[in-house]
Amino acid sequence: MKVLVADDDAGVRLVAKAVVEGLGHECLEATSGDEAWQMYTQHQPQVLVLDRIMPPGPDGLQLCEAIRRAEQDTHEYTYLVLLTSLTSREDMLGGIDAGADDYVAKPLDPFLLHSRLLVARRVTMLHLELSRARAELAEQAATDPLTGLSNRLRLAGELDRLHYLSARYGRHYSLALCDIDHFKQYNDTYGHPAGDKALQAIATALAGFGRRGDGVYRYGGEEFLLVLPEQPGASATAALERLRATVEGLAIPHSGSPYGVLTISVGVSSFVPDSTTDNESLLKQADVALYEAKTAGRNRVRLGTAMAADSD
Amino acid sequence: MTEFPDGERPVIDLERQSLLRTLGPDDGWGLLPMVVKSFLDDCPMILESLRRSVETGDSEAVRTSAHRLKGAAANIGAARVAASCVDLEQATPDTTPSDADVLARLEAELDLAAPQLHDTVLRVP
Repeated sequence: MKVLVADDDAGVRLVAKAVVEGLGHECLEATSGDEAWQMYTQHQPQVLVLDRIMPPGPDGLQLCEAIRRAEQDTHEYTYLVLLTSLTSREDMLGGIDAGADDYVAKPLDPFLLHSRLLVARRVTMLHLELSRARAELAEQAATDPLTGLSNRLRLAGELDRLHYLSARYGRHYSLALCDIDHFKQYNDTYGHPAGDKALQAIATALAGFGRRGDGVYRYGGEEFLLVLPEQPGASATAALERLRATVEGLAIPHSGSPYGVLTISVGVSSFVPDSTTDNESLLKQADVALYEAKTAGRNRVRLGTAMAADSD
Repeated sequence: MTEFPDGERPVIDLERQSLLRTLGPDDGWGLLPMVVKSFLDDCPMILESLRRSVETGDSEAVRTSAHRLKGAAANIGAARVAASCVDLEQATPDTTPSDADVLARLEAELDLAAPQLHDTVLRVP
């Protein structure tokens, strides 16, 4: 572990350092609140052993509070041990309340610091496992298990960000809603396992399409959404026409389709810089365009037109 | 330290010092000489600012310096020096008239502890 010892007394630092290094940990030292904060942000120690008052800069309690605030963004956990005098019990409680995990009374007893470091190791390991598990679960929750594509959970955040950046910097982007034609009939005819395989095959084709930075999401049962940054409607439509042909070219037999194979219909909508359209209404536009593609005979791409602001 | 009634507290807390000897170098003296040396190095500076603050009646500065000196003294086992910092640690404008006397007692305690401390530092390799 990396242990930062912050105390203005060199003698106290010598004792703490001997304990820390005796246990095989790395010891960093700070002599003031300012220096402690700077070392904390630069080295991200797992443990901080700190005196209550160390001018210039924040005192021990302010440091505890600042570190706990910073951790809300980093999801790291620093084990905070406060060095206090036995005569100031209120200070000790105030320190724990400000975010410290434990305290050791001064004069610093090497054995007590040793025991705190053992606990610190256990607690920081637990936090590490917790944050790993949390990241893994977040990843799982945002991924569709059948196709391996991102799902709507991830779409929400990513589309908001893209829309914000495009609106701010005056960039185009396009959305494409792709729906597998006559898919219910496919499932009824060939069975759900075959339906799952077809979904996977088409998902793979979609994922392989387009440019780096394009997003592919499983939007619903047999619906996929493509997010195409920096693409105006016309070039997006041309690219999607190629995608439609690629899917048709997979030649997955479908007796219930007039084309004899599985095909997709695509509805496209496009963000035009300086317009006031939000991403919600762009999704609606793509949905309307998809409906038009379906009613026009399926296996085709339709570019939607902007709706009047008061129509939705 | 609180288990000693006034007057019976030893000048040097030998238990604390033997604890420091178990840390650091494995030469029988351990960390003790180094820690004491750092105390003796820092002490004149803290004491000087304590004197100045007592003279000018800056109670807040008196409290800060006394707190610092108490911690440093307790760390090396200078038990009576640490104990005599306690009153100055609670200095207020009301106590200013008597602060100088308390400081004099503190300096006397430091003089008592000094020979043992200087001896210890001679052990620095």
